[in-house]
Amino acid sequence: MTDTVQHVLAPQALPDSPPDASALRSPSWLPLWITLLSFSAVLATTALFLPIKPVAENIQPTGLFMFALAAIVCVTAALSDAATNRIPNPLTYTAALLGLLLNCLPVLARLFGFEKLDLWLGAAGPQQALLGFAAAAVFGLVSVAIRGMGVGDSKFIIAIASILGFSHACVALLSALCIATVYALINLAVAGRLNIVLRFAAQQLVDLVCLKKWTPLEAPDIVQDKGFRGKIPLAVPLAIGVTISRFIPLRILTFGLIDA
Amino acid sequence: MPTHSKKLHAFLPSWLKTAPAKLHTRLRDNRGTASITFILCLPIFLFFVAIICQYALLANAKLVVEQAAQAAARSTVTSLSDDRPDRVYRAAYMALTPLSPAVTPIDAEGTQVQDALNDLGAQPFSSYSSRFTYAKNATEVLWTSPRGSFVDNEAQPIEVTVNYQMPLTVPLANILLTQSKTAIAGRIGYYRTVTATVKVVTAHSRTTRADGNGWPSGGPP
Repeated sequence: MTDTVQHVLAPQALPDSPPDASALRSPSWLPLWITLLSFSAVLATTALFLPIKPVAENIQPTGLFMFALAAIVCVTAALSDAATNRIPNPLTYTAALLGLLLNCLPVLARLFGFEKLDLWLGAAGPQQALLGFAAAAVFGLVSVAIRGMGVGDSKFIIAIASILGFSHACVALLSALCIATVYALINLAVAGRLNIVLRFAAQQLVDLVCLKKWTPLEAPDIVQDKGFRGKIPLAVPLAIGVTISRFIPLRILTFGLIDA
Repeated sequence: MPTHSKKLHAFLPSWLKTAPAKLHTRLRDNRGTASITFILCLPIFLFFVAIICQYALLANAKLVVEQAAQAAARSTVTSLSDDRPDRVYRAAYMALTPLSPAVTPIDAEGTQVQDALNDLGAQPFSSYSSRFTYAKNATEVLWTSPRGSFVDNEAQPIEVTVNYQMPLTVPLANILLTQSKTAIAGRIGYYRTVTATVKVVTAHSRTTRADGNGWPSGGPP
């Protein structure tokens, strides 16, 4: 454990010949986005076919593409955040834009007679997406202004709200808040070691799944920061919260306190 | 920079001069950490916001229930003398309909009222009948009996009380304000009783709907 901690906390060793920083700092995001969208499409299609048998005839199964996309974006952002304390801007900006565009798609599809697209897409609609975007932007601005969370986290919340829509995003973010509270308490109890362990695990995972290309190059200053114990990578509880909010009711997550 | 732009720039406040640079920095910033104090304080803050929102909705409900009590009280003066208490109830239900949630199945009386309003050209909202059904099931209208004959004695005091089961919809606050779930008109949820009482005094003593067909005795003028 001591070795691991020292390994993680040690300053990044500079290579003999510095890599081409411009190439690494601005990688092409197109392949990553194609991969994310393809994974979401496969997951949504699989999920659509899986529950058809047990569901009664009069109950329409809900499309899961948007949820799968949100979950996969969340996992990518969480890995990056846990490993480097940064959420890449190309990920958040593109996700927010894509969320708004994809939520407008069912309206266009209905105009051209593709009603069944709704069944697969599971989009909340343009109104919900815009409302989610606006509400998340206000919340993010206030949070950043009071130095509660980083700008990357705010952008990430805006992206999630744009993809899921206001109503579902509220439930997802409340679930995430419950998990973040538990995470923060545990991290406080173990004097910040949870952050360090998570960081090490995330770095290994980033290396394993070839995401290193897209994670920011510069070593995070937060490791040397004395406030490291007082901060958490928010994308991690957000990713868990968004993912489980679809399967576990908020009432159970909050021990019955929130029951709308 | 052109001369007129320089002049304009000189008049700008300092925070506005630095705003574009700050915005650019913010847009490029990608820090993804949140302060633990912020995370621990946010649930408490949200809890207070939820309580304030729920009390604001309850205050709004109180105003609407008072209006319903006034409508019911006015109706007692004209309808009790005709031995038509159903009109008193209906006056209260109609006043509370906009406040009520939509439920199913829809009551026949709700459909009748909506059709009647449509015939009058009032154009009620599409869910009027289902909301009326909830109002009918969630409202209790009580009034004190007038002293003596309604027709023969003037200045009869009548006290009308309306009790309405207001659905509590704000998460967290609803559980704190009421402990148990109940079902009203098939809708399971948390409810709180909102009460309003209005006193009226009859000024005139006469029968307005003597033959029960909508016209005073003797038919239409």
